Parts: sequence; C-alpha cells; structure tokens
Amino acid sequence: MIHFITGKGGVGKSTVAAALAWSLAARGRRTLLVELGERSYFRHVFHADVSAHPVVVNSHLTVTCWEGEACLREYLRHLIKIEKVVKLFFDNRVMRALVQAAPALKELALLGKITSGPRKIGPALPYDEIVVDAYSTGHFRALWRAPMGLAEAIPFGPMGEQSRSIVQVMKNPEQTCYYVVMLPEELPVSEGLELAQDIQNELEQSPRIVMNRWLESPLDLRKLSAFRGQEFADYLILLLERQANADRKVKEKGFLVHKVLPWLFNDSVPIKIRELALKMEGV
Amino acid sequence: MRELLRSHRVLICAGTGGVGKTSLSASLGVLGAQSGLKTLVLTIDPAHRLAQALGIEKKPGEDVKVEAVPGLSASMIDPRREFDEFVLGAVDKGIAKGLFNNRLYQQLATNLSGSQEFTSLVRLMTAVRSQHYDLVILDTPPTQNAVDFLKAPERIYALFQDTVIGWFSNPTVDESWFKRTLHRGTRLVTAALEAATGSTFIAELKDFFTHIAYLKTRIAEISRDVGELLHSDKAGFILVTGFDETKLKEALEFQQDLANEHLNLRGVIVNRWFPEWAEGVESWSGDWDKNPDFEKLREFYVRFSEFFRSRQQGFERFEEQLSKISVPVVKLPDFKNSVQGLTDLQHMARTLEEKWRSTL
Repeated sequence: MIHFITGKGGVGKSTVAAALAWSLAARGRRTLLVELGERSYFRHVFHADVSAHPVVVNSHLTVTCWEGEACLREYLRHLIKIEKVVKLFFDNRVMRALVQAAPALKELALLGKITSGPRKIGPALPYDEIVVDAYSTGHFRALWRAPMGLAEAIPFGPMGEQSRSIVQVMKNPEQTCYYVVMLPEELPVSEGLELAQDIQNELEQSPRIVMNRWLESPLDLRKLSAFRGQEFADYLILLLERQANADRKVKEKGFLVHKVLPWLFNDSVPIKIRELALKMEGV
Repeated sequence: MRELLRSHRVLICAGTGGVGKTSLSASLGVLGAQSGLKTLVLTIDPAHRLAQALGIEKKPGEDVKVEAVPGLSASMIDPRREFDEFVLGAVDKGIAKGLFNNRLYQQLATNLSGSQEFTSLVRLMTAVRSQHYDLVILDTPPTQNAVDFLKAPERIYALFQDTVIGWFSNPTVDESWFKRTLHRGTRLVTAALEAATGSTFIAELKDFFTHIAYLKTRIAEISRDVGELLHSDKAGFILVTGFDETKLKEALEFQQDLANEHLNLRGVIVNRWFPEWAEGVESWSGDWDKNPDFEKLREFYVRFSEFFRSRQQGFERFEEQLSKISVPVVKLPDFKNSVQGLTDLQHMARTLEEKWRSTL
C-alpha cells in the first residue's frame, strides 16, 4: 500500500508520516518512509544521512529522500538500459536545464517512482508499505495534477501511457490511500478540508482525516467555565472550543475524523514519533 | 522596528509553511503605515478572513487601500493572471496567444513549483517601480524549505538559456533541430528524451520553447533587476519560523543560505511560541482553590508550564548559535485570537514592536 500524507504547512505532516511508518514497521510490515525534495528533514530526526540511497533505521523501517531529477535518471536507466547514454543525457547542459525547468517532468518522475511497484516498472521495491511524507496543500495538488494534466494533454506516446497508469494507481483504493493531517485550528481545518474535497473529486478516494495535537484536558468545558477569568483556564477553554469547532466543521463537510493524535508535551521529534506510533495501531 | 521599516524599500518575509508569514507580513504593513510610510503588502494565499479584513478578498491582483489603516494598501497575488500579464507585456498578441494555448504553458503558469515565486518577484518589481509606495512587504509563497524561494528565479531562468531555446526554437524546426543535435554528437540524447516522453510531448515542448523564446529578453531583464534590488541595502529578509528544534535548525540553514547569496537578513521571528498566559505571572484568585476541580487544573498548569520551560531551554541552545550573527531574534506569543481581523493585526504589530525593541 502507498500512503500519502498531506495537509497545510506546519500541521506536523512529517511527524505523522514517520509515526505511521514506525507503527507499520513495528507490526512487521517492511516499510519505506519517503521524503520528497532536495533537502532531507529526517536527517535531523534519525541522525542519518538520508538521501536517495535508503537508510535502514530499524529491522523493518527504511528512510529515503527522493528528488525529481534523480528519479528521472533512474527511470531513463530502466528505459534505456545503457548507462553511458543515460550519463550522456544528464551530462548534456541543455538536458540538465530542461529537466530543471520543463513543466511537470519532475513531478511525473517522482510519482512514477512511488507507484513503480504496482505498475511493475523497474526493479521490485522490497517493501510492503510505502509512506510518503508528501508536500503541503498547494504543492500536493500540483503533484497529482501533473500526471492527470499530461495524460489529457499528451494522450499518445510513453509519456501519456505512464501518466495514465500512474493516475490509475493513485485512484485505486487497494493500492493507495491519502491522509490529510489537520490541527484543531481554523485555518488548518478549512485548508485541509478543501484539499480533502479535491482529493475526493479528482482522485476519487475518500482521504483519512488525522487530527493532530489534540488537547486531552482533565476538565471539560463545563467544569472549566467555573474558572473563567483566570488566564490559564481561559486558554484551555479557547483550545477546547477550537477543537469542538474543528470537529463540527469536518462533519459538516461529510468527512470522518479517522484518527485523533494527542498533544504531546514534548518538542523532541524522535520521541513524538515513537509515542504517536503507539497511537497509530489500526491505521 | 520603525527605523528598519523606514530604511528599506522592500522587506521579504520568508519561511516554511504554517508559521504565520501572512499575518506577520500584514502586521509589518500596519507598522509601516503607522510609521508614516506608504506601504503595500503583497500576499499570495491569505486566509479567507484575513483577506476579508484587508478588503482584498474579491479583488485578486489589485492594490486595495485598507480603509481602517491610513497609508496601508494590500494586494493578493494571482499567479496565473500575473504570468499572463507578464507575457502580454513582453510579446505581441499573436505570440502570447500561441503560448496561452500551449498545454505545457498552462501547466507551467499555475502548477509548476517556481512559477508562484517568479510571479511574486515580478509583482514586487512592478510595485517598487510604480513609485506609489515607500515600502513594499512581500509575503512569500509557502515552500518546503525557506531556500526554495530564492532558487526559484534561477530555475525559471534556466528555461531561457540560449542553449535550451536554441535547441527548440529554430523556425525550420525538424530538420535543423536534428542536424544540430547530430552536429553536437548528442543524437543519443534526443533519442533518450523521445524514448522517455514520446514524440507528441516533444512536439508540445518544441512549441512551448518556440513561443517562450520571445520572452527571453524580458525575463533576463527581470532577473537582473530583481537580483540588483534584493542585493541592495534597501532590501532585507525577515525569517519567520515556528518553534520546534528541527524548524530552528532549518532557520540556521536559511541564514547560511542568505549569507552565501550575499542577501541581507534583518531579523528572525519565532512565531507562536508561547501562549500569552505562559509569559505572565502565575495568579490565582483566593476563591478558586475551594473548587474541587482546582487541584486538577493546577496540576495541568504545572505540566504545561514545564513543557514551555523546556521549550525555553531548547530556544536558548538555538540562540547561542544565532548569536553568531547580529540580527534581532524576536519571539512572538501564540495570540488568543488567531490573527485574522484588523484588531488582531494591530495587536500583533504592537507586540512585535515592543519585543523588537527589547532585543536591541
């Protein structure tokens, strides 16, 4: 299964993605956690040189960082099978510039690699689960719209074919699923819900809503109201009201909160990942 | 703070997504206007209520005067429209039309990473050149890394290198194109590209480059002018970051990246880092402790406070590293109301000014 984790910037996508990967690995699934981009965030977290070359974190968990150009290179290698030509291609100044700038090429290469397993392209990846710490809202839309747009724009030739088969995998609920991470705050919820609706409309799958950093208060709103006027109590009341609003909004749009993750009183990302992983059972 | 605003023509708020760049840009704008500067805030994707408060919600692309704050204008950047206008301003109608019809252009202008950043910079240039404003504040589009924003113009510019355009834009396309590639001994390369993408894609690509070649001069101008502007003393970057040790590490990297590019970092703002109450003094009214729930609330309070104390320690570790450069590092609290209305913005602006002063 391929898991895409997305949501508004700053909601904890990376932590949630890592926690999910950690939890799947703990259940004995061979799991690959994939970051997208040139600079790895997880290298600070796992204290390892995370790059296109996968880094083994524990017996079942491997982390890697994929970047468009490298993926394209790999794909060409698979297609052409002559390393010398591939090298020639990428050493060519014109090609380098083209790959950097040509619309949608890198997005396509990234998704091509992520979905290569189900499409049976290239060497089989030895993983049961691939967890993708995907881009935040706007960029994530651009990512899936690249193969969709190209499949439409360029119906013929290998590019069109590849695009269509990528889209097919991304629409298949047996092969991929989507998680929209939110915080119980106004903007992350509204932006997250818009994205969730786009995923539903365009990828024809209902994304799983993950509500992150949920405050488990020892007193409920009714009991807290006795302390109104005290700054700390007012703060808790505000947070609980935000949570109630978030919950209501999600339901109004016809979605279900799939998972609620607690606010951990800790800033250490490695510790958060392990603790949240324990809450991920059944996901 | 006001001095900083007065001595600049351009301030750019950069940072990763979700750290409150837009609210911060807007409150900087409020401060600018309050300092007697004609100020414009350019923002790319404001939250609905903030856009409403500023009055820009229904007017993408236009400069709108913010009625409640004299001297302040705001504008929402519409990347697609901006790109189209840029094209229309640079080439004649026929070519522009050809480009608009190209399917790859349609992808490029809206979806490609880099195009949002590029259009933001074009918009910034237009605003500065208009001479209508003393100060322009640019809220950068959300990027994975803060540095992505800086690299974007370079990426777009790569499209317009002589070699790339020359490859595709020869009017007697097919024959000469192949001849030339043969001449360069890179026939294998084109074959590889074609094998990977297919001939229809290549045709579309050729069409794209043929049209875009006409934009070359204008793009080169813009890139040069933006470079000059951003490297001048009149332009500065404000890094906005959130609290999280890894985020702070990214901030340090960003600072390094700016230094490498010889760009001016003018301040670091760690946003939403404490709730306002956590900075206050503990105060309990006498009667409350009679309530049976008081103990529970107090325990929770202690737990929260400990968490924020450890955060403070984490920050101190970071501060030591930041002390290598001499810019103010300002911590802003997590305000009670999420910053969306004008009153919230003014409150944020006031706090920002106070905190900034106390770091000097």
